[in-house]
Amino acid sequence: MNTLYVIDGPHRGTSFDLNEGITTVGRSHDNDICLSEIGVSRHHAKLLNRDGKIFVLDLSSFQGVFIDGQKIEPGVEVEMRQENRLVLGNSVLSLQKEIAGENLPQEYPTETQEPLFDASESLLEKHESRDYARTVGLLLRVSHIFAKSHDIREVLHEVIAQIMNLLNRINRGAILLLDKDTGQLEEVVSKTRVKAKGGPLPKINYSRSIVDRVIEEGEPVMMPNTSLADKADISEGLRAMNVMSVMCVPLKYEGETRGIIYVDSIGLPYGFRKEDLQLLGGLADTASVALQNAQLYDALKNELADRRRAEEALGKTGKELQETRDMLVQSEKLAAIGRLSAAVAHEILNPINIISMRLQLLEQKEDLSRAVTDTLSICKNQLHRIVEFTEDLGQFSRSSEKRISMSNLNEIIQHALVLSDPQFKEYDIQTDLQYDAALPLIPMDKDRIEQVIFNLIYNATEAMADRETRVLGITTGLSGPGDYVQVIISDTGTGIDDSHMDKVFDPFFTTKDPGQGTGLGLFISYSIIHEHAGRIWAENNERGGASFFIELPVDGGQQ
Amino acid sequence: MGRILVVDDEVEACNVLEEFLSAKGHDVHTALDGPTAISKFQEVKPQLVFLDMIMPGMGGLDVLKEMKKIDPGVTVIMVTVVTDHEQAKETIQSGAYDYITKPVDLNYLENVTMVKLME
Repeated sequence: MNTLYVIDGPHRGTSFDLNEGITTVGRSHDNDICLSEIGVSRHHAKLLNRDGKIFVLDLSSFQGVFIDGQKIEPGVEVEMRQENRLVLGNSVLSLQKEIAGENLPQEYPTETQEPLFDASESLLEKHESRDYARTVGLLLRVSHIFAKSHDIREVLHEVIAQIMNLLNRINRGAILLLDKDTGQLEEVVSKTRVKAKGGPLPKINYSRSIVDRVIEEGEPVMMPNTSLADKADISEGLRAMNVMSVMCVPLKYEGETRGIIYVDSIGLPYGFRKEDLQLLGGLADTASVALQNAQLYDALKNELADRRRAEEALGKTGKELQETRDMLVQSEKLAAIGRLSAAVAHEILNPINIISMRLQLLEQKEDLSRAVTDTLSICKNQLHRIVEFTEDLGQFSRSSEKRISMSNLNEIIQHALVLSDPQFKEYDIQTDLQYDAALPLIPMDKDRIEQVIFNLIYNATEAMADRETRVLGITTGLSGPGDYVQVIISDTGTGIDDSHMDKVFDPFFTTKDPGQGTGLGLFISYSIIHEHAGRIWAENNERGGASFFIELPVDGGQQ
Repeated sequence: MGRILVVDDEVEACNVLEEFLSAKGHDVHTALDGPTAISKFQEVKPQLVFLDMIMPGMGGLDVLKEMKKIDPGVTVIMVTVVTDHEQAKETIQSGAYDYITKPVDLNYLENVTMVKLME
């Protein structure tokens, strides 16, 4: 049995056993040997086995049949020997697996085919040599665009532009992609150079026969001159459109044809060469990679966006959880302090009570020396200090029942200011009050909030005692998107040392002289605001003093 | 002058008040816990009671309610530490006449005593 080996071309490496009688060769699947490549006509040739000798018959193929470089006459059987090279299109075939002592030339069919094109291109400008550097330059530019851009439309647009630029006699170029959902080919980009006599060419009417073939077979199609082509290959459509030269290459990725690049020339044949097809094929491969990249990039981008959203949601939940946990810990702490301070206050005040009453009894005695009354007075003052301290402590152990009512923060502040008036007079303090008249009523324990405001005013006043400018500022308003009622109490005092900033609300933290403060005022304020689901914090202001911010939730923290 | 019952679990506190009020000419009785206070109350029938709020066992509020059951007209003044404000206010609702905070101001205590006993 004779075997036909494909020693070069797209099917290089494959081999076909020849039939005893006739073996047909062509691009069409109904051939015994199917060579699906552009240079091969549908029914290209026949191989006949006559008494062990192999004869070749050209079936009027478009590109012809060559034996050792000699075109054979169509219709004439020519013997093919073991050492002969048979050339059909781009395929080089032999009856031997390897041809001894012969290096295959790189450009096997083109030279021999060239006269065919040239003969038909007498009307065209001379076929200029598109040099290698220019081609490489194009591929580099396109690769560069692919690397830079992930916008597939932009990439493909550039590809077509470059193709039009390089193949300067083609009239139309387009890239079509298969829509994954509908299975339809959609034109993504197109460019036309020709203007028909009445105006611009509208859309390209693609030759269905060619486009379908490329999609179906996944192999490129090149028709340098349709007027010379196999009749079976030329549709009425092509003729009607006066398409003279066509190249169409598939865009393949993941083994599937996903689209095509199509170029043609109208009116005059272009005379495409093998290099042109290689170039277009190379571009198609690169474009396929870019398409795949763009798709992966989109998928990745979506996944990242999803993940980021998930992480944000998670982060938010985590943050809220942490805040809630902090609140709970804080509430627990405050409750523990409450219990402790009640016990401490009770344990301290009972003996203090006895000492105090004894001192009062002593005081009432007659004939006391001056030294004794002075001593008694000192004792009473020091007792008073202890009592004040336990009263501060007592703030925590008040029965936890809050008296919540809908209240106006402005009114509470005004009341606290009235109470503070004697102190303002004593220290000669100016006030700068800016009330937001539209403040909503919000649920709060009026007395306790007033206690906080009063406490902050008191601190502010003390901080300004030795300053030249003594202005107490109070501003109210809605903060953020209106979820909180805010009050800012600012002074022109000495401000808060940076190292103290995170301690000012700690229990027993004080910068006042011994005996002047217990360090509980701000801590109590903090716990009261905290009980209201509000926020309190301090900042230094532009006037050198401190500003205390309080925010109370409009809904009372009942989200 | 008047019969006064002083109830406090601190013996020293009882002693001071007894000394102070006796010196003002009152008939002063003391009790160191709730049950003793109730029996002394029935026995002495005081016009005025100074009653400590927090005591081990039977607390001041329970003692107050018991006394009010026995003699609804009796004047009971609660003695409390400042931390007990809320609870002290409750005692008013339960029939206490007033409450005074520790440390006790003896002048105020004397005034209240005078006012109540003069009625």
